Amino acid sequence: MTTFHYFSGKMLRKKSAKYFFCLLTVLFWFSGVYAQSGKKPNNTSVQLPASQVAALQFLDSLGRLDTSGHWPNVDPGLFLENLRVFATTPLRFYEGKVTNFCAYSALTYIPLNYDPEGFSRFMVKLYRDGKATMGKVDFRPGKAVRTEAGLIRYKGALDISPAGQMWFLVLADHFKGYLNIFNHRFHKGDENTLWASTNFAKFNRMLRRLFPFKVHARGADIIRPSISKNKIYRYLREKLEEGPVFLYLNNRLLYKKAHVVARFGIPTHYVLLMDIYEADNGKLNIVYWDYGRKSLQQVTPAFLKKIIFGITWCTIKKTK
Amino acid sequence: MVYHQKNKITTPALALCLLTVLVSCSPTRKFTANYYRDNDVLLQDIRHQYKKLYEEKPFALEFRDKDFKQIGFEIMTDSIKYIYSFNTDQSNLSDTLKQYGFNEKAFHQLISSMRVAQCTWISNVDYYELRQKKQFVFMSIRHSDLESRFKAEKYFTLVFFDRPQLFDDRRRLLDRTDKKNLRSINGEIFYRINDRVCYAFTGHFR
Repeated sequence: MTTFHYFSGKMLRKKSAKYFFCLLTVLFWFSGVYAQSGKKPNNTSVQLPASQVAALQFLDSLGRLDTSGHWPNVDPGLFLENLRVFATTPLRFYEGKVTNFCAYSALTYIPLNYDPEGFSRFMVKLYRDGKATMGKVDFRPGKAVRTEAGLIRYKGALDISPAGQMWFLVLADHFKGYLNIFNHRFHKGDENTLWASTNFAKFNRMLRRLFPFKVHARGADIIRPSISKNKIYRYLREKLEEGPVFLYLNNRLLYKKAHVVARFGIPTHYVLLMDIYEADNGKLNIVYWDYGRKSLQQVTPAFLKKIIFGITWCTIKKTK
Repeated sequence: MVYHQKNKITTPALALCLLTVLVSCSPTRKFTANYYRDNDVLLQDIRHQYKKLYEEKPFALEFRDKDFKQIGFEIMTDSIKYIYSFNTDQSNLSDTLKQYGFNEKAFHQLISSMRVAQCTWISNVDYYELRQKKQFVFMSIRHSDLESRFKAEKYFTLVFFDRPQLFDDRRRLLDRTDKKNLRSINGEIFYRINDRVCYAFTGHFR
């Protein structure tokens, strides 16, 4: 997949490009709403969005895949089954327990929701050839990574998702930030270490280079964005209306795993913000996506401001 | 002269190291043996109560404070996970339990059993064997014997399997699939209590 099919072609050069984009936005919105509704089909009698049908048709047209010499530990049957699940239930996409793959998982929302067919084509090409292109990025993963895909275990549903393992390992192998300086090359078990971690700038760079969206960001790795707690609801609400919004959070507060009082909060987790609305008691209900499911949690505006270190939102690029 | 100076430095250092080792090892080892033996029936009871309620509606339960009064309550549905926070004597806990169709009496019984056992977290966790999904009950105990002024708080974490598991000669939990690799849970190695129950001391309760 060199770029998304929707954004290419001669049509965009015509005068009707504006109308085409309007139609496209509506179609995207509908497919997004459908995906978010959680009413996923169990059988083919349920009407799927056109983009998901196209992905399934492509995968069905392949029949079966031969074992790839590039990915010796990825079972082709399970790989295709994974791609079908990604295409039809994108919100089940799971980063695995105790890994540092949350950033890669969060950004995967974009191809799985807006172009599942393109993502399937990319993954199949990567599997067959050991290399593939997405957006502006040529992926040529190293042997260590290619050998490891399919072998990661004890991570919950990621154990049975060799396609997910491939995608995460390929992204972590290709994109590097300052957090990866001291662990640049993959070794077994590095899915849990700094090798796989993602700083805020790297996260935004990945989005810009992979997808045809204009990426905007506020915040930094250790400094919170300067948005007052009284305005944070309105701010996030506005950004949600423009496109997908990602939050870079202090996870020790959001998912408490120990009773220690954290004195120095640092962000360690990426989520996709799916909705935010005010509750009757003055608190905010936030709906976010991570670990393969949506979560709804009620928080105070002050708490929300405290845990957010980065806000990234994506809008459709305006073509000349 | 030089020898004596060296001795002056090394002897206290060695004593300090020895003391550190003793302090760091002994309470936990003693705690494991005593705690599980004394609370075996209660812990199994909690597990059964939880599994029965879980069958009606999947959820996880957490105590958020040392007094075991505030709970975190995560209810899983097909499409979304709802994360609530309650005081156990608040009326809106009952309202929420009714709303989701929980057996309120059984739920409060679970809360009080967890409080007695000082169980700070309980959940069902998925794991995979030969591509088959299975589940175990995951419990964390927050106990004053595991607190230390000098070290971060530790949790006595217990895992309850439905079927017997394999362990190596060092009592470490093995992967049943290949009988060689250690099965890590949340990145930790677990040790045998009996053939279906194992434990670890962890820095995280979930």
